[in-house]
Amino acid sequence: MTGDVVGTSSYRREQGEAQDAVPAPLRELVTALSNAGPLPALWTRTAHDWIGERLSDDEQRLAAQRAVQDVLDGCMQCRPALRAWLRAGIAQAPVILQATPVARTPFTQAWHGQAWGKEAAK
Amino acid sequence: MSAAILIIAIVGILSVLVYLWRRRPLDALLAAVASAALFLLGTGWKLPAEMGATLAIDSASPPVSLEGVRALRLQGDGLRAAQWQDLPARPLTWTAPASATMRLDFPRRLALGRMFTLTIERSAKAPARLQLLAENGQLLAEASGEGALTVEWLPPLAETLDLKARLLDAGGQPLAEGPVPVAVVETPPLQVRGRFSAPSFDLRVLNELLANSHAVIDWQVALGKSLSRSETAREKMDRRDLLLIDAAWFERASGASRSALLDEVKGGAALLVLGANANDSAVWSSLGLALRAQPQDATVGPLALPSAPLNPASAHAGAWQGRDAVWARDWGRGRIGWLGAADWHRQAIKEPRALALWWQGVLDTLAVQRSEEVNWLAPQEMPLPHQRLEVCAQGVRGKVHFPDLNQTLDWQRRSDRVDAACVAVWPRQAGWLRMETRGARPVAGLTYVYAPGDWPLWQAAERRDATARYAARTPVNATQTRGMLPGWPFGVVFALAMLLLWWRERR
Repeated sequence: MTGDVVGTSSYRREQGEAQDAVPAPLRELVTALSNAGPLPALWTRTAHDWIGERLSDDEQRLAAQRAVQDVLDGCMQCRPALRAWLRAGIAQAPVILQATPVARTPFTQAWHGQAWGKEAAK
Repeated sequence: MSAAILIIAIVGILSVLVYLWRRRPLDALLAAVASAALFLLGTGWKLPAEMGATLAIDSASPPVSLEGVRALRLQGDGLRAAQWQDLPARPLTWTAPASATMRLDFPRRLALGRMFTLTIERSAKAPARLQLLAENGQLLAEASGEGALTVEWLPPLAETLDLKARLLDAGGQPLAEGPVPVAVVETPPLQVRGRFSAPSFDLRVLNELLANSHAVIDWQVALGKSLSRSETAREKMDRRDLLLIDAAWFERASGASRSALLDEVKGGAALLVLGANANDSAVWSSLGLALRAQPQDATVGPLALPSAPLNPASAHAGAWQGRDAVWARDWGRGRIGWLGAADWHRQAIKEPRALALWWQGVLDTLAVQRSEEVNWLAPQEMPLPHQRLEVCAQGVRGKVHFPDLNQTLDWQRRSDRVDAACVAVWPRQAGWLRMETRGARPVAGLTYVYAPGDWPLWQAAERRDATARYAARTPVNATQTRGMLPGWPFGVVFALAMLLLWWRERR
């Protein structure tokens, strides 16, 4: 009598990769649009595919396609608007559980060390 | 008026009257002069304010120097904090204007996956509507009401956002509109090690939440005495941000295992105990945690989750501080948290986002932290073109480069910033200003420079705050620091008048 469930056995597996809500080419395009630098190869296809697939409203889709054409024509001021249209195609942004970033400076380290020293002395 | 001054006045008037009655006008005049001189000597009269060097400040063209200036007079909102810092402390005569102001509060830098929150605090109390707009004018979030207004939005990508906020009155007329710049950055994935004594739906949902957050997970669930289900991390874990156990695992663990775990926490890790299967309160008293049995229908936290069977009796229990179903305490350089809630898996389908946000709150309460080499500090006031901008950061040394300004500057230590270093730059134009630390591992940062016409009411509020802080540096009103009339000439006049009277009486 081990208390184990009959027919079950231990197993060990490697953690899988989580799926991304946003395709990598689109992420790269949005990052490139954030800067004044060159855009990825075939970026218009990525943008058109995404817009066609995700923006169901005709007016919005046309406005987004105009933004693609404006950026293609070299309009730098139009890049933020295109980013916004691409972003609008993302249905729901996920909450990502994460740690809070803190700067470990000599001051904070000394402070925490002192606080623990006092507590340990109690 | 003191008694001595009163006596001087009475004696002086009587003397003058006596001399006049005796028809000696010259002596009466001398008595009047002597009395007046003694009166002024005793009272210490002040010079009128206008006779001192008081400078009227024009907010549009602040003075370069205050040499020879004893006090300041000001009308309007005043100067920016950077401008006041350049001036030495002087008494300031200023009344804050009563006109409307507003203050915006939002993070300039945000980690991807965190909720962006914008709050506008207004001095006006009339109903209004706040809209958060994307770069293409699309509405992202909206809130309406009286007083302070808050909107929330979850950015889906890591990018620099040039959002806009618009404040409308009850009739839909715009009250204010301006840029809301925020840099959304990616953060390294959470590294989690979980050890559990029994499987549950809660554990499965938590595992999914962590996996969807791209966390690196080392997970082990005991199914029986010799059965376990393990999931190894997809990559090597160089640090452990979070240690997860359920209460039963700790209660059944050997003394050596418990000590090893607590030593790991003492070294700086964060440990979260899932209290839903706690059974033995005596075990937890060794951590200073006094657990009490909870009523079966008790709920905890903002999601009203069922309470764990054993929880601390109050929010503050010794070293343990509780909030939203989590009680946490420092343990060495690390932290230990007790999660006193159960059955959160029921929220996974009904309210998945609320559940994820609640879990992020749990991690924040536990203070799960990740060291960052460089921490760029947000500017203390709105950066404007051609105005001095203080760029400060923690964990920096050496130099910092501003590509847009083609400037490389040395970080300077500042007495008013304990462990940060700063440089001063004068941005040339509105927009994002890039900077990068120099060294073996350069770290880039961004700050947004507003246009001079952006958010005038916010600028006014910042100027008023800065002016109030400057006035507090010398907490004496200018009228109270007027120059005193020197006393010695009155003493001389009094003595001469009395000598003349004495000489005339002796004649």
